[in-house]
Amino acid sequence: MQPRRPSSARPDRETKFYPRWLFVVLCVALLLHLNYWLWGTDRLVLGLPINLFYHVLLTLALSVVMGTLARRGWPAFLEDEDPE
Amino acid sequence: MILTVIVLYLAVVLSVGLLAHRRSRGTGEDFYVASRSIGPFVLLMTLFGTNMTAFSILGASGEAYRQGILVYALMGSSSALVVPLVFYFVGTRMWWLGKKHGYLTQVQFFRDRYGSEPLAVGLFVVLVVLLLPYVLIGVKGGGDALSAVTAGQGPGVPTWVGSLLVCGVIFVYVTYGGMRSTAWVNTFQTSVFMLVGAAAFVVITRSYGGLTAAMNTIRENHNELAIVGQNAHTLMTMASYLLVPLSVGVFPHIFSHWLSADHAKSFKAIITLYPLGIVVVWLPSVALGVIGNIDHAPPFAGPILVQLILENSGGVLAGLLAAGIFAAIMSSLDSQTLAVGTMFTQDVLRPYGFRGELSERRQVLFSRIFILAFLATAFVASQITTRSIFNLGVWSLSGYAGLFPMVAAALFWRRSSATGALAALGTTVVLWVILLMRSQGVEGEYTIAGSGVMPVVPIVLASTAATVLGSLLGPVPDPEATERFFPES
Repeated sequence: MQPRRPSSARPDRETKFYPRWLFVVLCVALLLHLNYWLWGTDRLVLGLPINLFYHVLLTLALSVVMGTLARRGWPAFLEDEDPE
Repeated sequence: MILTVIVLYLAVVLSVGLLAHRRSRGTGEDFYVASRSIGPFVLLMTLFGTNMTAFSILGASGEAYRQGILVYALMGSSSALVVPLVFYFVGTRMWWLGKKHGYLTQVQFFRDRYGSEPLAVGLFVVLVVLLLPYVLIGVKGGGDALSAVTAGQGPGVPTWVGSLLVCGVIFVYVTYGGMRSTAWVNTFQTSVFMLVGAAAFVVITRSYGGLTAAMNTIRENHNELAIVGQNAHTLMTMASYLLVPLSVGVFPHIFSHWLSADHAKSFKAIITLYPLGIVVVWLPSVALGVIGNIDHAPPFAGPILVQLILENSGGVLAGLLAAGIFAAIMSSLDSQTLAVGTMFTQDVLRPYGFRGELSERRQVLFSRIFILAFLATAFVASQITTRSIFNLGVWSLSGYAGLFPMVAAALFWRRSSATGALAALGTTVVLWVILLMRSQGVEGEYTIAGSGVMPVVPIVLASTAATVLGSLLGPVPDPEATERFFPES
């Protein structure tokens, strides 16, 4: 079980079951998703237009993020085999 | 040749479905959620296949043909970011609650969580109504695909044949084996359409002298398709599309797959690999759609991907492509059909028709009857409705996305109440209808005041506000009754 810290406000207690770094990663991912600065660039990378290549790369990176989330950020209550 | 491949494919689909039934435990829970016994691999494949529809193959390539590479970022990349997080936060929690309290449907959860009958009834109606256009698109898509693929050899098979085939095959394995057959068949179908997409990509780009040569031709002759327009309108649309995949958290057909998992840990595979799956399915679709412009000046009537396959490959690949399209369509339609059958039995018949005194055997029997009636209705409706039904696709998703705040609040906010949920439901319905009416007669894609902001944005924002305000202004829920829905307590 994840250690529970004493908490003053109730709603806050919930978030401790999910990793905080996820919030930061999410904000970065959202910014990277809206890659306005690259939109007008016309070049091919590995045969793909650079904006398509960029988003494919971003999608692959997301798989790494989600994998880390599943391995390192799994909420404790889901570890219990049976929620009865 | 093409028809032979398709018939063989459908025969394999049926065998897998019938084979899965041999593992059945013969109970109601087995029919609806495969006795909550599905492991990581089948869960991964069936959830992915359910979420990838005909649109991901035919629609995405068609859109890319018109709009260019932007389509991948709009619809593929955004769902790779949002969908795994929805599974992580909402899916695993719903699974936990479903197992703890024995739920089979979303309405059961909401009825239990807030104890409001008007909410349960309203939610049931909205969930089913939003599913209708989605289902019709699948049934019609099957007919169109078969007709287009066979058109190379003459007039092509009439569209009703493909639609009937899709409905008929689904009817057999869904009613026979329920969730277990559906999950197994989806696993097979997902493998098929992933492989077919990859094969089509290799064969077609090769016949254009390789990917680089093909894309260079596009850059020279259709440069606007190889870049993204740097303007506020595109930026707004791109940001709007990030909200559309929230619909996954509300789909009844995804919900029932969540409940079928054996352990929470089984979600780890789909959470990790979902973005990878998006690359495998969407990259070929979008790239080939763009390449379609080389030999076919727009507007091109009919599916551009089918045209490219027919021109560049033999009958076997064309047949496999049709099988792949069928796979993408059927792997969503079967889950939707099963979900509707489950909902009619559990949410309407049991509480209202029989007051809970219905044996499991009879529940399953009624579900089968509902599934037959639903598929028959969908088939007839697909023959009556026009192609304009396809435009309702994104509207269906926007409606479901509008209910997401209410789902999130029920799971994560103890203070949320029936009043908040009812307010969110009402707001979503009203705004959805108003915006849909305002979009009539608008050329191209309707955005708010032509700004690029999609209807999903005001719907989700208003629904969030309604959830919060309704909950805060309405009666305070009983804290003790609420605790059993929170694993942290």
